[in-house]
Amino acid sequence: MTLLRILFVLLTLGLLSTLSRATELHVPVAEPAAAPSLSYSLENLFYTSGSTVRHDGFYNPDNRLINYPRQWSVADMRGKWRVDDGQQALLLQPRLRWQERVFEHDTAAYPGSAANYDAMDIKLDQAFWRWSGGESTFLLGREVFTWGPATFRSPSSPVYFDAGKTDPLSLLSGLDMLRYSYAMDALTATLAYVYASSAVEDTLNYQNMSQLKLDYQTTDSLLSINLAKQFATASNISFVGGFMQRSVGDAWLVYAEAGRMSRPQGEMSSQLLGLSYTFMGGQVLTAEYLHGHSDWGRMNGRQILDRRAKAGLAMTATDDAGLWGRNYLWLGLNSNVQDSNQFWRLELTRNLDDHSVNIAAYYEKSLNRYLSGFVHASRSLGGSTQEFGWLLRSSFTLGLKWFVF
Amino acid sequence: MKKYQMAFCFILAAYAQSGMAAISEPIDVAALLKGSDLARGGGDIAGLSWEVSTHSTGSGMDKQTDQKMIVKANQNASLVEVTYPENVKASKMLQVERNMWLSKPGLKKPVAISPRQRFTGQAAIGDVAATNYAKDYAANLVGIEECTGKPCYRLDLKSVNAQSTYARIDYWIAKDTGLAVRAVFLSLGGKPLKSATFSYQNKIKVDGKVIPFVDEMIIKDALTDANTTLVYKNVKIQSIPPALFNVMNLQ
Repeated sequence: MTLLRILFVLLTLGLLSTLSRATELHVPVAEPAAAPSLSYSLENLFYTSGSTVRHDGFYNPDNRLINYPRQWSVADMRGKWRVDDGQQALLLQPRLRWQERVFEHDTAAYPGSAANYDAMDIKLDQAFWRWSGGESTFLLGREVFTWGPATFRSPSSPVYFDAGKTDPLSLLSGLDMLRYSYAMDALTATLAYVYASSAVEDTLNYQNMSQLKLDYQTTDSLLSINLAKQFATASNISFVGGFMQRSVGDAWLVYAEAGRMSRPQGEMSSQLLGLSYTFMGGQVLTAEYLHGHSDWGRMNGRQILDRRAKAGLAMTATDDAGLWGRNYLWLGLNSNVQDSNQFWRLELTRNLDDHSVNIAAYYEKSLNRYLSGFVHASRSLGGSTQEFGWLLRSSFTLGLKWFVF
Repeated sequence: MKKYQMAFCFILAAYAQSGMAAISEPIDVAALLKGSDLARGGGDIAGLSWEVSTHSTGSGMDKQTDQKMIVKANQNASLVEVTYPENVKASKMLQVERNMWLSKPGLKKPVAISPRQRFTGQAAIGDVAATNYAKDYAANLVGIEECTGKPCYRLDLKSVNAQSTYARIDYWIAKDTGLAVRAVFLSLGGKPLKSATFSYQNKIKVDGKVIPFVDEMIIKDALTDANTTLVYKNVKIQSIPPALFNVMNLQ
C-alpha cells in the first residue's frame, strides 16, 4: 500500500507540474460565450411489481427472516434542468419517489416493518456547475462520476462497482465533489476530490477520497487508469483500477475492466472481460465474464448470509450482500438503442460456481411522444441455497412512463 | 480481333449515349471535394453547430416520430443531442474518431457502442454529423454528366479510413457552384444502400467570405420506399471547447 501511496503522490505531482507548464505555454483565450440555453425534462414512472418468494429457502424459511414484499407500487418523478452557454453548464437533477410495499407477514424480524408500508423520498441525484474552457474542465457539485464500458459490473470504479445497468428502472446518485480535467491531445488527466457521499446508496463512505484518472484515447480505443485514496477517515479506502475498450472493425467492441480495493475490512479484486457485436439492424449481443473475490460484501454475499442465517437474523442494509460467487457469465441481447419506438433487452446471468441462472426480459414501447409502456420479467433457475434461487423464483413489473415535457 | 473492335465501338457508342461528357480540362479532384465538404460542415472549419430536424415517410415510417437535434462538431468529433420528441429528449451520441458513446436519460452511464451504430437509426449519425469526405475517401473523377438539370462532376469515392460511414459513394458535384447535389451510398460490394440529394439555402461566413451551407438533405432508401428529409438550420461557426467531446462531460 505504501507503493500505491508513493505512486499516487508522484502522479499527482507530475500532473500538477504538467499543468503549470501547460498554463505557462498556452494562456487560455476566453471564447465568446453563446447565449445561455435552457433544456429541461420531466419523466414520471408509475409501476407495480409482484414477486414469487421462495418459501423453502434455507436463508429465508417461509420468508420469515427477510419478509420480502409480495408486491410494491412506485411513482417516480425524475426531473432534469440544464442551463448551458457552451462554456458553463448548470445541471439539476431532482427526484421524488413514492413507494408502497405490501409485505407477506404482519410482523417481521427487523424493526419498522408492517404489512403495508409506504414511504416518500426526495433526492437530488445530480446538481453541479461545470466550466469548460479550452482544454480544461472544472466541476463543483454532485456528479455521477462513472466510467467503463461494462454492463454487468464495473470493476474499474471504486464507487459504482454495481452501476445498476442491469436494472432498467434504477438511477444512480452522484458524489459531492470537486473535479478538474485537463486534456492534452490524446491524454486527459482528471483530479477529483470527494467531499461527501451521502447521496450514494452504499454501505461505504467515500468522504475525503481523492481520485486521479488518466485517459488515453486513440482513433479506435480508450485506455483508462484510475487511482483513488481516502485520507483521514476510518474506512481508509485505497483503489487501483483501469479499463480499456477497442472497436474492432465496424461491429465489434472488446473491453476489459479491473480493479483492486483495499480497506481495513479486507481486500477485493475483480476483473471483467467483455465483447459485443452489433448487427446490421443495430441490435447488440454482449457477453461478459467477471472474476473476482472479496473479503467483504461486494463478492462475498453468501458467507454473510450464512452467518446471518445461523444467528437467525435477517439481512440488513448494512450487510451489503453483493455477489456470491467468484465467476460469472452475463449475456445480453438488446434492440437498436437509437430506435425511438421501442426498446427490448434479454439478459442471462449465470453464477459459474453454483451454476444458478437468472434470466430477465425488458420491453418498452412508445405509445405516443409523451407516453410509453414497459414490462420487466425475471425468473431464477436455482436451488434454495444457490445465488439465483434462494430468495425469489420470479418477479414481474408492469409500468408506464410519462414524459411530461 | 474484329469481334473486339466491334465491342469497343459498341462501348464507345453506349458511353456517348449515356450523356457523360469527355473531360477536357484538368480537374483538381481533391480541391473540388474539399470545397464541397465546406458547405456540409467539413473541411477546415474548427467548430460548428447546427440544428437538424428529421421527417420520415414511406412504408414502415408512419410510426417514426419527427425528431429535432442539435449537432456540435469539430474536425474529428461530433456530439448529437436530441431535443424533440419528449420520449427521446436529451439522448446524446458522441463520436470521437471511431470511439462512440450513447447517453439517454434512463441510462446510468454513457454506453460504449460500436462504429456500426453510425449506419443505424432514423437518420444515420454519419448523415446528420459533419461531412469530411476529402479526408475519409479517395476520389476518382469518373466524368462530367447531367445531374439535377445541370452539368456535374461525377466522382467515385472509396473509403480510405475506418472513420468513414460508407465503403463507397457515387458523388455528383455541380460544375458551376462546386456544391454536392447528389450521392449514392454503396456497400463494400457496390450495392446501393441509399441515395441523397442536397440543397444549399443556408449561409455561413468562413474567413470573411460568405459561402452556401446545406439546408436540406433528402435520403431515399435503396430497397424500400422510405424517405427521410433532414432540414438544417441555425448554422453557427463557433469555437467548441474540446472538453465537450469528452465522454465524462456527456451529462
